[in-house]
Amino acid sequence: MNRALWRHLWRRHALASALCAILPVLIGAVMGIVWPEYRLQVKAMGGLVKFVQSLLRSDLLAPDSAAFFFQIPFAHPVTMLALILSVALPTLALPAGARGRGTLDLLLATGLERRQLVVTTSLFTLPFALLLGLAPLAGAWIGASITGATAEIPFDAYARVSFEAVLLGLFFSGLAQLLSVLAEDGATAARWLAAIVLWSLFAEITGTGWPAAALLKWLTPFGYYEPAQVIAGVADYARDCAVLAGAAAVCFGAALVLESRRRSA
Amino acid sequence: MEPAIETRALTIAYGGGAGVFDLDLSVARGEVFGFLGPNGAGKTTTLRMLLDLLRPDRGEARVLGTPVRRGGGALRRRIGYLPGDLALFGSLSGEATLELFSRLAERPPVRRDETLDRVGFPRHALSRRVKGYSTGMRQMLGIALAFQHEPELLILDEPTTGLDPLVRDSFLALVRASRERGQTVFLSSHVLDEVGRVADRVAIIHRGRLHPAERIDALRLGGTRMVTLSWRDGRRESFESDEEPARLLARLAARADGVLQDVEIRPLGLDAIFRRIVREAAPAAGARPPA
Repeated sequence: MNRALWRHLWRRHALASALCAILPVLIGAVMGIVWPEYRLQVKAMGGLVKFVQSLLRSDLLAPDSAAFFFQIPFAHPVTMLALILSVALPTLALPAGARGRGTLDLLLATGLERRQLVVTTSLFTLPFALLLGLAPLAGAWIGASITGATAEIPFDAYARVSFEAVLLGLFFSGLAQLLSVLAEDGATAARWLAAIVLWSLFAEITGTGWPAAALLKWLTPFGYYEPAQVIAGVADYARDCAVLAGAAAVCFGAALVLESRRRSA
Repeated sequence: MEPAIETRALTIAYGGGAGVFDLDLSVARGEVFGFLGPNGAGKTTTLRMLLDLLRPDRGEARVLGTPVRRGGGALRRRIGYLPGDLALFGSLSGEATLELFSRLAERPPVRRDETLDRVGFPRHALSRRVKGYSTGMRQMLGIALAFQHEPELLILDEPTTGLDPLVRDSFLALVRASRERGQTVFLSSHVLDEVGRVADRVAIIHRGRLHPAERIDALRLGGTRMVTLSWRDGRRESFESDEEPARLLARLAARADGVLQDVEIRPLGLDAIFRRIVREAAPAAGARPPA
């Protein structure tokens, strides 16, 4: 790892990456405000809300339970977007963004090794993966505290979901780093990442809502990030964590090897 | 002592005849070496291969006695590099930029102040963000980045781009001072007369192939002269001549016939030499298939 590069990344990206953590916290707080009314009205709700409930696996957790409702900060698409952005901003910037702008040559000419570049950027995203993994937990706790429902929340199960979110963040960090190594500029890498994320969201929603297409879920990272199943205690938690951690390691390793082997930096 | 730069059969092909082919080059330590060529000739490609930013298809490059591929970061820390298309981090101030690259190079910036003063960089601008700089100021900052840690070798790609004539003169004085300190300077440019003011030797690259390196004075005193005749009726005629001075004057006297108003005979300028070499090489280079 290169400390000078770390400091540079910190100055350029730390604020934006950290600010992403506010979103899941805000979602949790809003859930806390909405919860009393939702609890009263949940049985009367239909249509779109029923569909969302089924996506949040109302078959596993009672839809009028606080455990079901306060999982939303973990599963909300905005949370996923914040998680991905937080780790992808630095990794897409280096090396792909710098390559596209022409600053990469100057950075490497100082004596920085290509391997150091990948290792430092990837390590830089670790605290933000951790922060964004913990942010929904903090959001759920704040929301439950606002409405006095903390006693109804299984925080030990929520903490396990948080850990899975950290691993999901690490996976996207590794994936973004790999795409950044392969792409000629930041915009190309960002487009590739967006395509993969959209495909994953599509596969997750289709696989959850349509049992015949359940297989699709296992082809995406979201298939291994299952807040409702973990809270209900029916997830294969060890397998999911292993898949996410393994995929993150594979992406990171591939990025390291491919960057070293690139013909042109 | 091993040369500062030595390449053997260095080749990279991009397809369509583009690339660098069989480059054999040797630059002595403490020398200012001009690397000349028109745009797209392969100058930047060569420089990037010398820094291991671009890997050749075949051949070998040794820089400061170390094979480039094995030298890695430790070797590059001994080099100061100014890229042709200088891109900096616009959100950083000039001072932060100098500090960042100094820390990355892990070398104290012993020549920072001197370099900034020599090129006349306005000190008050150091606290401003680079994105607000003019092209010339960016280039001055780039020069300071390359020189600030007093590297053994300076690799400079079109270093005077965007500089006004006064700053250009200051930059050339900086290059001379570096040579006096024993630093090697590899200067890539297409501004030939400028290179001629500081370079000990030059080599010309055209369509990826190198023409032999020669001393500047040998190029200038190669015997070819530019002759310009002015006639009384206003006609002017210019031609290059390799004739011996006595024979040339005798021939001109025979042609003068009372109507010749003026004769100017001067050594061929570097630009003219360059154009001539490129012109002579063009058919042959074009006929050769890429390696």
